[in-house]
Order: sequence, then C-alpha cells, then structure tokens
Amino acid sequence: MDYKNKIRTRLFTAVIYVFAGAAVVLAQYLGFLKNDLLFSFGAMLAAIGIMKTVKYARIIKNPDKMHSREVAETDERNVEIALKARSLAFIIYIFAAGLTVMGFLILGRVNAQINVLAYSVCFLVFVYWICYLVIQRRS
Amino acid sequence: MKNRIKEMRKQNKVTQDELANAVDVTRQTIISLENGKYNASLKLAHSLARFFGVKIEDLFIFEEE
Repeated sequence: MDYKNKIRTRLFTAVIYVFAGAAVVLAQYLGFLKNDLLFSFGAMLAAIGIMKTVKYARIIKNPDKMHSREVAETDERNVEIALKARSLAFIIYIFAAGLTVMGFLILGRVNAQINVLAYSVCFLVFVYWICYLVIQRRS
Repeated sequence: MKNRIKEMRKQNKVTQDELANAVDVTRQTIISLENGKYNASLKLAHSLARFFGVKIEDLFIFEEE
C-alpha cells in the first residue's frame, strides 16, 4: 500500500476514534450510560483521536515530513529494534506473570485476578505457538 | 562484519545524511553501520554498493571465524 494511503487510513481511523469517544461521552452526559469508567474511556478515546487527526492531517499536507516519516517507519534497523523490543517484552511478561501466579499459588491466595493472569500467560504462549507455525509455513 | 562505508563515503565527499537519503534509511542506521554495531541486510548492502559504484564484497569485509 502506498504510504500516503496508509496515512489516510490512519487519519480515517483517528476520526472514527473521535466520533466513538464523543458518542460515549454524549451518552453519559445525556444519561443513557451511567458508568464513570466508560465515560473516562470515551473521553480518552476522543482526545487521542483528536491528537492523531491533527498529527496525520499535518503529515499529509507536508510531503517532506511524510517522506522522513516513511523512511523512519520502514528503516530496517528501526524495524529490527522494534521486533527485538517486542520479543523481549513478551518474554519478560511471561516470566513476571508466571512467577507472580506461582508465588500466589504457594501462598495459597488464589482469586479471580490471579486466575485471569494465569490464563493470560497460557493464552499468550498458545497464540505465540500458533503464530510461529503460521509464519513458518508462509516463509 | 567490517565494512568500508565510512572510507568510501569520505572518498566520495558524501555526508551521512546524504547517504541515508540516497539509500532510504535513517542517519542513525548509517552511523550504526559505520561503527560496526549493525549488519546491513542484503538489500541495503546492495543499495550501498550500487550507490558507491562498487561490488558488495568490496564494501563489506566478511571475516571467517
């Protein structure tokens, strides 16, 4: 996909965020929703949408900026660094969450949150295994 | 893997920024390549060699362990 079209897609997504966030905030304000957490989420979504809309609109108007962004995003060293960071974060999460679950199990304090943490570790490892098989077959 | 990118760049009087723009990478990548901290992909190695008008093996020195 052409980089300009990619930025346009991101701009469109950002505008959707704005409308979605605004809808949630409006629903709360009009009394259709009575959930403070959801209201905060809606406000956050709208704010992020507005910031991204402004950012991508400015990029589209400036071809030099668009080119330098494209180079920065597709630069092979940057891509490699991002992949390594993601991989390391995954490993650290698995170990940290796994050790936390084991610690609570040993202490005999198992509750819903610990169960969710344990399931998230299992789910992540399972998804990693599936992704590995899929990517291995494709390459 | 060692390389002669810095040497060739100075010979051709090209700045790191100009080289980076020519091969569509960031200046940080050129710096890392020159310092030997990063090994270029085959595609980037080919782009660099073509820019300087030399062969890949003249630009990158592969040392057997």
